[in-house]
Amino acid sequence: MNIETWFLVIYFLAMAGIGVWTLKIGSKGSEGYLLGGRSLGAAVTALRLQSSSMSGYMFLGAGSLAYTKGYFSLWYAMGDIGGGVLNLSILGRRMRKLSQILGSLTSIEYLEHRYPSKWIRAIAAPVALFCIFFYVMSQFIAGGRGLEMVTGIPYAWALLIAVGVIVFYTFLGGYLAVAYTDFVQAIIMLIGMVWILIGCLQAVGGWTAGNETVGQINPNLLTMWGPDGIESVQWGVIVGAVLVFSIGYMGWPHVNVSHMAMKRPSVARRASLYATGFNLLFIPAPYIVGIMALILLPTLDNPELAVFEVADTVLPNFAVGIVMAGIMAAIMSTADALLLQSGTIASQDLFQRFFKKDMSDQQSVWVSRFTVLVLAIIGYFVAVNDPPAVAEVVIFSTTVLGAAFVPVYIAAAWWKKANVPGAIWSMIAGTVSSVVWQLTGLVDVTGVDPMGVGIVCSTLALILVSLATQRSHPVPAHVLEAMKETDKIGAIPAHMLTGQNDSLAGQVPKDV
Amino acid sequence: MSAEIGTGRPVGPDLQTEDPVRMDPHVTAAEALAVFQRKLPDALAEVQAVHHPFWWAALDVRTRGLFRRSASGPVQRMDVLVNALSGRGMIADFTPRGATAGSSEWSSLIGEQSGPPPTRDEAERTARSLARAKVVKTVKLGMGIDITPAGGLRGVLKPNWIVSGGNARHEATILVDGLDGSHYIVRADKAGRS
Repeated sequence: MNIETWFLVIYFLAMAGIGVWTLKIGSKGSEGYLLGGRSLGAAVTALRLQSSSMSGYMFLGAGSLAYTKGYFSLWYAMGDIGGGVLNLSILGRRMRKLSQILGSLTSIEYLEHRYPSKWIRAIAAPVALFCIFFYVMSQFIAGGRGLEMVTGIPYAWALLIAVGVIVFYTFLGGYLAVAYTDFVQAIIMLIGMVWILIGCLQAVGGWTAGNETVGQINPNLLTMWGPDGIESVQWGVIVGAVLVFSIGYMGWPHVNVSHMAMKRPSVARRASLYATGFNLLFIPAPYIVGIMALILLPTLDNPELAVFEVADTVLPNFAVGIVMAGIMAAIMSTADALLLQSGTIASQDLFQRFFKKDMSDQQSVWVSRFTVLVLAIIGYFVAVNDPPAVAEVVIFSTTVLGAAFVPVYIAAAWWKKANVPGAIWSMIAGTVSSVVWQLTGLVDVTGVDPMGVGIVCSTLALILVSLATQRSHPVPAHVLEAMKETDKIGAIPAHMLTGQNDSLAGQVPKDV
Repeated sequence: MSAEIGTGRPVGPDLQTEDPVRMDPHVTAAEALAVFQRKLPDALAEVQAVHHPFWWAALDVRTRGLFRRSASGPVQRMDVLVNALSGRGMIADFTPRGATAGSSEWSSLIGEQSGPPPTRDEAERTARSLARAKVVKTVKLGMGIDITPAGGLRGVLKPNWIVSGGNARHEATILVDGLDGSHYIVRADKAGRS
């Protein structure tokens, strides 16, 4: 076994260990399993949010984009850097407070409580489950491929190991395990990436010298307009890269659930500082490494391997092992969050809501665990027999998620006139328009991103339908009262909490 | 709408208190009913005022530096309530005020307990350790903490509401805290099952 493999083994064991540890400290019942008992502080919230939203794309896709398009790729980095902070600033505090007042445990249940109609969940849950399942499958494939690349073991076995480790700790500790492993994984990702960046800049003689050499290859690579210069810029793509990618995060249920698990609403403020720090250190690094790879590896066959090949070239063997652990961390932190979320949606939002309403807390946790296992098994067999292209699956599923859910999540927290018909039509319009735009090839014809089209359609549907149906479908008084309370800074008054106060158990008169 | 629940056994002199304070609720009966109806929409319910006995310990807390023998700095007053039946304590963010209740009412509520209720000493110890635990979190490591009682233990009757009723599908009984409006579900059944 080579030294890279040893690092991966240690890493896998550490992640599994966290799963076992959280099983011991984790609180019982649905709120404990699904939201970690709403106990997470700023650092864990921020890094969990960032690592689960970034996936293996940062190590594979970002390097590839920079290798082929130069500093043009930083438009995407800008979207990435802003995404987490925007999400925490716009949704964080309000979603935490509103979800607790309304007594919501999952991000889909939160939508149903804010827009009280069973149709909200009946539409949102299948859309989210479908997209998240494909997204998690793509992460399985990426994890299997990564492990195969490092260890040399056959893909089928590598995939089985990657899926096994992810399922193991998700299955055991629920949200708390996922949150803590994501936190550790974010740190490993950061260390791995910054290490490659430093080694890479040393190898090219510093950033200035590196830029001069890249300029000799093609001076346009040093500009933000792409390798063909400003004349060939697609402004629709640039606007899409900066705005759509940055706000797209706000529609991802597996990312938004972080807000609901915060210890207090005020944690959001400090978490956005941590998220900004993490993003500024981490996100530009793979892009810069990708650009400098043009000097170090001018004849690279597969640009997606730019970051890994640079690491292999400039770092000692043991460091390559840590970097590989970082890549696996990026993949696994996204996969576990997705897997837990899909299990949650299937058990809480579909099974319990529509089939077995009187399910106990413990039964619900077990159904969640069983669903995680079943989804992982199906995901494994699809991924091992006929694996689709990772990037295509990721882009498709995240596009639909963003288009369907961004306006309803934002309006849920901010717009008191957003009502049930508006939310239903917004989700339908976002899903249908983005899927149709993608499948009919309108992207190539118009040069406009399907997520942009989807978000415009879903936003317009939300605003127009909500305003048109204010009289027939007014927002319920208790939701308006909860939103008014959410406007205020400070603790939630006890009488507004939907959850019960267990300390009152000792005050129940004997005769009752 | 208001009644007392509790016809207990006689209690020993150690657990008697003179002039217990009967606190008035901050949450009205209508608000308690609204809490119930938020859990069970369109429910019809009846609201009943109840009181729960607590021991009230007013404590003065002072901190002192590592090398100083006497305490310095301002005195911090803490009002600690200890459940006179279960022995669990809580630090109150209010000073209990209200009319004086009869000691017979106190005795009857204490007598509800099937097992032995906590003694005065135990209640005092609970109050002191709770106050210490709270202060320890806010002072530097190694600082001393002096806790002196500002008077003896006094009985307090804390107000709560019992709300019972149901809608077409469910029946339930909940206890609503008379001071902050939080609630505890005592019983919940499908309609017609209970």
